[in-house]
Amino acid sequence: MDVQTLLNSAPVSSGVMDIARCALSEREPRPDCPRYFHALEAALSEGTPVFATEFYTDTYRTASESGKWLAVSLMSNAEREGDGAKRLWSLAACCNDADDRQLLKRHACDESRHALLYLALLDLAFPGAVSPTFRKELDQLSPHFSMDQELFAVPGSPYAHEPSTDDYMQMNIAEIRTTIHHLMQRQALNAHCPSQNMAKTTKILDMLLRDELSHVAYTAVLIDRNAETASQSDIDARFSKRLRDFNRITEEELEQKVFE
Amino acid sequence: MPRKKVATSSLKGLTGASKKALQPLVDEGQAIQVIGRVVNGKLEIDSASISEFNRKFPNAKMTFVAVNAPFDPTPC
Repeated sequence: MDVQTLLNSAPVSSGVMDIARCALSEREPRPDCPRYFHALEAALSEGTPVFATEFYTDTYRTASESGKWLAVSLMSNAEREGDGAKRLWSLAACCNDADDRQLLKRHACDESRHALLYLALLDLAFPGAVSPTFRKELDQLSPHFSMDQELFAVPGSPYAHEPSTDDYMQMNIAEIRTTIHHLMQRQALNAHCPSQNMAKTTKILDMLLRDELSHVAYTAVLIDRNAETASQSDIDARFSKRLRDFNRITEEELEQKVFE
Repeated sequence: MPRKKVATSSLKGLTGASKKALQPLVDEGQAIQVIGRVVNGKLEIDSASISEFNRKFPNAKMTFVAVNAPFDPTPC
């Protein structure tokens, strides 16, 4: 599956496996990652995670019909991207492998930028939705990391440790869900964004999608590489556990809803 | 008309070119307003600002949010 096919599909039909395949297909040369795909397949054989179901996309579609809900959601995403950037920055700071450290640092910088991109989407889709003072404060949600900055472990961060295969598995699963969110957001923004701002909005969305897929791909490659020295059954079991964990977190998030 | 009231308030504090640029969007009914602030790096949305949909929809602060980093620091 390539990116265009992914974009042309309804979010719900873009399954977890499709997103992983699409992400890897974007890399040149294209890695096979047999151990990663084996683990992903084993995890998915336990059942479709809630974030890849029609119920999930239908719930999002209903909520995002409210412009105000979508505006708050964009701000919340900016906040989470900024928080994720700090976790990754701490992981990168503690990474002993120079190549992996650079990948994590790049990832942290991407997420730091994504926080600002979500706010740019807010500006484009909902001009004037927040006061100039509040808008200026929102920029603080990004830690403004850049590649020329020195890495440091964020004080008190529980993620200030040498990154493990387990960390890469969690990141990979989370990034796949974020890609599904992205596909849903594209449709929602298309419905709300003023037509004169749609071209800029699409450009930002394309940047975000390219990055999300790149993050799915590089973490898959690292999982596959690290799996070379482990048994496949152990890798399968750990990946399945993390998918179950993240599925439970997603279900708990959904329970925050109160339908009338 | 409630929408008109919200639209007008969203232009408060804007002058000149900004106001002129936003006016067509307001006229189209696109404008909305969210009140909040950022405290110690955390987003705080005014609860009254979102109460109208909080009863009906998933919590926009908690649900459908991006996660791009490890979500559990305890190794499995």
